[in-house]
Amino acid sequence: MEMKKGSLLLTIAALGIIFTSTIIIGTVLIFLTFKFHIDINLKFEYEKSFSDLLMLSLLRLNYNSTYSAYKVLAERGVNGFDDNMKKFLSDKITLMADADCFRLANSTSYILNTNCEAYKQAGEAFIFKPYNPNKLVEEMTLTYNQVER
Amino acid sequence: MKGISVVVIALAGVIFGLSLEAIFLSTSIRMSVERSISSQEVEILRAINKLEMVKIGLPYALEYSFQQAFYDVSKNGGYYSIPADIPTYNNLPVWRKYDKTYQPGYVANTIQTTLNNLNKYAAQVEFANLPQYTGMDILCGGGGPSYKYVFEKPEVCYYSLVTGHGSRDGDITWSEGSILERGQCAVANPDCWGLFGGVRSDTIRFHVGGCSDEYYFHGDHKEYEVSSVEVGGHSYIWASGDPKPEESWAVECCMSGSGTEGCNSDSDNGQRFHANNVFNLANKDKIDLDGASSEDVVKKFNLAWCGNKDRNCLLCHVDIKDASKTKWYVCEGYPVPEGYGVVVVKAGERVGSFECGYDGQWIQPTNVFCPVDTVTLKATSSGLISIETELYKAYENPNTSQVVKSNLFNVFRIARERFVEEDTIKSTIENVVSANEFTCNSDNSTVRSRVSSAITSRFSDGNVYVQITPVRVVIKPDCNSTVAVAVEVKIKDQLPYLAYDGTTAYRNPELRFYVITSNDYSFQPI
Repeated sequence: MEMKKGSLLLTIAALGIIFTSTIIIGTVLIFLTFKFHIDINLKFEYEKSFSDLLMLSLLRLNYNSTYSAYKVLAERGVNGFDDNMKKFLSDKITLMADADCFRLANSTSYILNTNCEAYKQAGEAFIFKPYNPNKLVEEMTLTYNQVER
Repeated sequence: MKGISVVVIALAGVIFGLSLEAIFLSTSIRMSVERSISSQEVEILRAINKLEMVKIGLPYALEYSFQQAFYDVSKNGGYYSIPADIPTYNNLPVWRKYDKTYQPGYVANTIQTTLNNLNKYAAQVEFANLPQYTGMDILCGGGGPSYKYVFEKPEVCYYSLVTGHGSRDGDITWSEGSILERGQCAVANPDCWGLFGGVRSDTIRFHVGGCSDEYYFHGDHKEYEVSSVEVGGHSYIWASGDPKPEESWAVECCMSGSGTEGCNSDSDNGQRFHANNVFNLANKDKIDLDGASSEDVVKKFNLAWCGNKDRNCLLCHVDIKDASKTKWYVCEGYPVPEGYGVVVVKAGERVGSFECGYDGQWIQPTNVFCPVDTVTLKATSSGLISIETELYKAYENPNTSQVVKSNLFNVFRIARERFVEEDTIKSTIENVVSANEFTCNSDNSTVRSRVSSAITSRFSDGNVYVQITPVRVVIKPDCNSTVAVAVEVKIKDQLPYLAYDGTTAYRNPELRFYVITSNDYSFQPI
């Protein structure tokens, strides 16, 4: 009789542990997964829109009192693209993107790039070029590796 | 009993496992759904960024369009393409020849070309729909007197200038470079219409764009179907399509040998006939559809020809379904013709690109003076910039403005004041001739040399440099000392402009034209 009573208690205890752990693990798992999803999605959205916003911010910068970063990039084919201009843009990209590696390119060539390979984040920009009926719009892509902190 | 306990625990374990699997599956599905939503949100954010990118770039596109337009129009002496009825010398227009002046709408042409160029930029943006730009204001500096230019307001559709000399301006002619323009009522390149040389085609395809005034059609490089037909000795062309697919537009052209009746006649009947022709052609498809004769349509809508032999007439848009929209604009100071829909425009007010002058004449206002070398360009459109997908629709106001360094108004002002309104060249010749007291025995080469050196000059006005060079001096060989000169005038704005002429480069637009004059007006033409 005592054997039966002990076995019943053991079974009830085991069932209690199983159900309690199911509820606890399930609850924690749901919250963790939920948080994980939010983190992942926010990161995804942030990186995608930040890259484009970065390009927008870059184009809005003034190179000097009469010349904007937009014009520096748009008119580089006719005005030239000297080291000062390159340094100005490189510094701004490095600072704004918090990137150790980056690459600014159009559909055919690199405009600016670092020695290391950039691949993590990418933003696009479209700029109007000085009048040439064959090509009035240029597409640019900025690829960079944001420093992990 | 022990067996039952094991079974119960096993069942509980199974329930535990299934619960975990259910949680896993539900979260996986949820994850997939959320990622999808997230992707859509990213798409929307990126679309907004793209719209912002267009807005940032439009002022630059406007600036580049203007600089190119200034270059293109200036190198042609104030015309985008020199009309066939303008006298030329060395392939450049003559602004003044003896007592006649041929003043181009230099500012208007530059603005039209600017808008045309801007629309080319808009057409090359693939990720968004940019509307056509149709209006432009130019403000002197940051404010001051402004020059307004609107292509399609009010409802001006057809424009015609009837002259009293058996020739007509104001129709569309074919010109080189695949461009239709307003100009003399003649077809410069008849073959292109297929109406001559034994070849005739009812449908000809060609490019339109860059046209002047009311015949400005957007969308360079688009093909419009143009039909032509010969009726009663007159040749007509008409077309329909973008940008006004709901309307037909038409012009009447008088081919050589077609006579003057209905085309050049100064009589009321002749002018009415011409107006009817244009209207009927423009509405040919509707007339045919309605089964009404041309005459019926004209009567129905009370068409009247407000024109006169020396007056710009604005025959406005006639809505086949709403006669009240028919308007004829008459400049104050001119007798108001009978008819419905006649609108008297006060002196100083504008209709489209025309301003009503104080003498009753329609003029194109180009006499705006701007003392500074910056102008503010404002391009406007009635549409919206849009990005539309199945997920979302995003819109943005397309109006844009940019401050540009330019002496556009000053270049034109100097040219007009010095060489059109006042004949400084003629005065110089008269002074030289009278001061030197040339006689029949005077050596022609001496006369020629002194006239040339007196005329040759250069001066500057701020950033605007003017150079006057006689290219030909002719002395009439019958001993009355008559001298005629062809003078090349170059007016250059020293400000840097970025323009394209096959190879992209910095260039300064140079307005070049000729003035041909003599010290009397009986001299043989050069």
